[in-house]
Amino acid sequence: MEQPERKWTMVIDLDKCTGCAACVVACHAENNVPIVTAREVARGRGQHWIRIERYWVGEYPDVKARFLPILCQHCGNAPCEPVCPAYASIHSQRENLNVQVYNRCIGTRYCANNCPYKVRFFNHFDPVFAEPLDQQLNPDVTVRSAGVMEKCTFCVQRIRRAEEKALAEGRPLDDGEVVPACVGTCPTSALVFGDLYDPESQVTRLVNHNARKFRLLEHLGTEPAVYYLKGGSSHVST
Amino acid sequence: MSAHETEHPVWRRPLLEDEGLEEQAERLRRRHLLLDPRFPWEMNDDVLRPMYRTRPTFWVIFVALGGLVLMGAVTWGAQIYWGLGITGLNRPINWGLYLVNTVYFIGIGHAGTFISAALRVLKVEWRRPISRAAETLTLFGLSTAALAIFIHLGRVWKAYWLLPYPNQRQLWPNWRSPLMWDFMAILTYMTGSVLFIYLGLLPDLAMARDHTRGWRHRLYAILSLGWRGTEKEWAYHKTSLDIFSYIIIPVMFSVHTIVSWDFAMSIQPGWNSTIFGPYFILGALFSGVAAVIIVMAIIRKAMRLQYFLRDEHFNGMAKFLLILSFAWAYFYFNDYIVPWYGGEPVMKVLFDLFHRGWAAPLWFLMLFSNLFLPGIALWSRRVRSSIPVLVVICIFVQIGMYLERYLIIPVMSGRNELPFDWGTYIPRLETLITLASFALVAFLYLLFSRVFPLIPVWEILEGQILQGLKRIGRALIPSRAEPH
Amino acid sequence: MANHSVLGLFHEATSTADTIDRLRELGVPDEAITVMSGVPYTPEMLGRRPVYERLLPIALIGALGGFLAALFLTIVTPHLYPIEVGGQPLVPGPPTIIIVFEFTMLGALLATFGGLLAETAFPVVGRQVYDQRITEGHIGVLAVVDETLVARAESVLKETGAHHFKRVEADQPPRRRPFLRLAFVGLFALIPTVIGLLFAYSVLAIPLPNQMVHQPSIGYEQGPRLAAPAHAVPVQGPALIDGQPASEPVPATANSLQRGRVLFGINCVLCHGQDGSGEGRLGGYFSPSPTNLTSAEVQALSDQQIFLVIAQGWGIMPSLAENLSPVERWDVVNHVRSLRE
Repeated sequence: MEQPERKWTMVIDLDKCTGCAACVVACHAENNVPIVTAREVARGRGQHWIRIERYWVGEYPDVKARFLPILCQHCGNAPCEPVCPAYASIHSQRENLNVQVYNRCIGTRYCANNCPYKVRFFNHFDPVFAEPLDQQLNPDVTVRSAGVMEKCTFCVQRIRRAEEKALAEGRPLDDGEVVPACVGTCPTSALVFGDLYDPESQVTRLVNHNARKFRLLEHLGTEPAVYYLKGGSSHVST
Repeated sequence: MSAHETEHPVWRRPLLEDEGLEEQAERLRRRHLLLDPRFPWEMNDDVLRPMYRTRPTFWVIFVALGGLVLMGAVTWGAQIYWGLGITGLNRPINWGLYLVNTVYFIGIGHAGTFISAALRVLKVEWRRPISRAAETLTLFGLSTAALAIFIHLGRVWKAYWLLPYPNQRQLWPNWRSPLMWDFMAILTYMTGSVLFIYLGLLPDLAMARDHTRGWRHRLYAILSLGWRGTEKEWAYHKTSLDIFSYIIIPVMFSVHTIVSWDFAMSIQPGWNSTIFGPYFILGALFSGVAAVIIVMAIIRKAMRLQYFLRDEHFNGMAKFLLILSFAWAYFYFNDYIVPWYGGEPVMKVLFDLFHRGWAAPLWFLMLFSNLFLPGIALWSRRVRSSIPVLVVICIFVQIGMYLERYLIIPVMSGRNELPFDWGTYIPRLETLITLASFALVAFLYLLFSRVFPLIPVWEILEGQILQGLKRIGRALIPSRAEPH
Repeated sequence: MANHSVLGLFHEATSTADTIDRLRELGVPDEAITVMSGVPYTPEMLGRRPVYERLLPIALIGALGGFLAALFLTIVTPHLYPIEVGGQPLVPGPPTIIIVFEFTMLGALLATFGGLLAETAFPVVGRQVYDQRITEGHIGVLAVVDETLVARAESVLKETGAHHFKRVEADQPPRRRPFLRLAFVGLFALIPTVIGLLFAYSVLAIPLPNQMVHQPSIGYEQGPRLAAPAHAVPVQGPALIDGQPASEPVPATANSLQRGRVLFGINCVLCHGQDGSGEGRLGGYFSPSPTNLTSAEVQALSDQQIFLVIAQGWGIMPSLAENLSPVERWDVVNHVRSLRE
């Protein structure tokens, strides 16, 4: 088995997140995420690899909105992985990522049932990209067909490109060189992405000894790789 | 026993001379099939004749069921073409009616195995006329369940990737997945059931071969493999049935346990319960016995099998159903009280949904159909002896057990730890396929009943030879001999 | 000496047992007597030796086979292509136990059935001595006796109360050809296995639709890229290439034009031709053929767009970023402008 080289981690600062959903749009653009119609969303089939969950807190007139961007947590102990009979949902030892292999997926949807964060999306129909959106499709990312599961990959295509470039230039990967679409577009820099094994990286500095940090649904033992930072009186808890 | 009784064939044993005893004997003969021997050629006729007779009603039912099955096939084709979006599945409810159908149909299949294998091992004699009818239900229930599994796949044309064979994809299937355990368990169970029913059929196929002509004779001649009934054949036959019975009982338990583990292995609240294994087995037996009773009532009426299927059989099955109803309630209560007492927030949400939410009518109907109705009504002998009432109760049991699976699969998975991601399931075109699944079981059963004898005459004859009347004082008692 | 078969039918067990005793006294060996019935009578009931059947060892062998197959599948195959999933080891205990159980049972079941078929030589091909009344509750006693004993055997049957009997002269029992049967079974099993393996290794293949092979996205080397749609933001100003400093256009001085002409001659003429019409020496080898640089569409592009085409390539035209420095590229752009007709 491979040796772990990297631990890709994302840190989301909820005190900075404004709920603008630019990350959602950027992810759609980068990863060829299908755009389902309004009727499908009404049926509960909204498909956003990163979504902003909005919770109302308090009673009128002290109502607050809490925003929680949720994407695939790339769990260290992912419950979605052992249940796939076709090995379409597997773990990359080397970079600690949860990998979805589209062309192995036969659509049993057990992985989606087992994900406690509900970040897995099933393609109920073939994706339709109305003109001229079809020209905008990213050739680095497979356009999935109906019957296949998909989810956030931490923009693995960008990770690969950066690693190949670093390899070609004969240097190690720098912190901040890999910028997933959501991270790159966030106007408040609420999302930070990096390698937790790198002692100098920004995510390490944010995660170590941070009183504000928590992870979602930690009691389930999934070991997510996404850390949330929230100070203040309350936060959207586990 | 007097010399008389050993010297004459079963159907010619003289009645006893004593007047009082003759009345008793007559009464016992009316009530018990195995004490009421008839000429074997009459029994053969009774079993073979309904296979030929196709009254207009038969054709109406044939066309109706066939039409439903066809509609289901067309809908499935549409689903393959357009994708699973034509169903009501969404996020987070990824498993809907198809999985409910799968669990339900595998469930009703368990009774067949129990009756033919477990009751055989336990030497319960009244299982004799029922065993094949029940096993047939198992066979078609399992097939429809397997079909439902294929139908629910997103890319069903790639399903062969789950077969373990050497290939150049650099992959074998993932044995850590409960779905693979499911696959292997159902495969084993289906193989076992097919072979078991075929083994039991062999002597009857020989009988059918001997008493038919034309294409039927040719078919039975091939299928009976040249069975003549020699001692060697019977000895091997008996041992095979014994081995099969002993093996298929643990397999049967393992199959529905493994099906339940599809849910119990997940971390979905409500599914993640350690009691699911035995709970589902009990539920399967419960719904299966009720289904067999319905089937028994139908074939008794439609195929005029009143000689074979008597009150004692319905009574025995109904008593068994009563026991199973309470056993089911025991396991359900276990599954209910433990999370209820723990008071975990997600479970509280689920219980609220069942007690006061939109799912409340379904939940109460389930409890009524599974516990209150059978648990109260079946104590009465009059109820157990009245076939129409029994059938109504059994239909309610079917509804209740279907609802039980419905409440577990699409309703419970609509609630989880993140309230933003709750959902409700509204079945759409999968209802058509569900209807077609029920029609398919009935349709296959109908076809089977036209080609294969549904009553194992050889088993009944065997039982009639071994059963007799024993006189103790002034009473005649049915007694049973057991060849070693 | 030819063998004849004599078959008598009886009603019940006692007279059948008597007949067998009498036949035994006649000297007919036990193996030559076959009892057939529609209901199982035990050998004890008929005064016969019990049948030696060995299905249990066969079932156990089958169970062992299933057990080994399961161990192979759960222990060996994950190590062939190891794939890590969710915190579980490659060969976890409980799932292995489940698969081992199921396969062991399956092996036992299949072996039992196969054993039954093999031991009873089912299916029997060819005619056998039989009577249809056996499935009407009668017991048949079949004795294969030598010519000399036939008459006496028949009289025994009459005396003990057989109510039907027949004699089949010079009957040859169906020749048991175990090797032929085995070969047939082997072939039956071999052919699907071979066909299956041919499919498994893609020697034979069914061209099933494989949707994700054909991607609607346009690849980097794929052309043609369609014209920008209306209301798209035009490329103006400094040419921006990711990772490089912005590059400002160079004015079209005489020096720039002359440098541009020389560089165009070195880098571009082979495909686009001396006059930029797309008919260079190599132009004919490409499909689509090199663009006509004098055309209205190309001349309508902005300078920056032409710069980007040189720097990044277009369709099958490669990037010339390695051949030309940014300033040189602007020189070539200026030259291309001058090719306007």
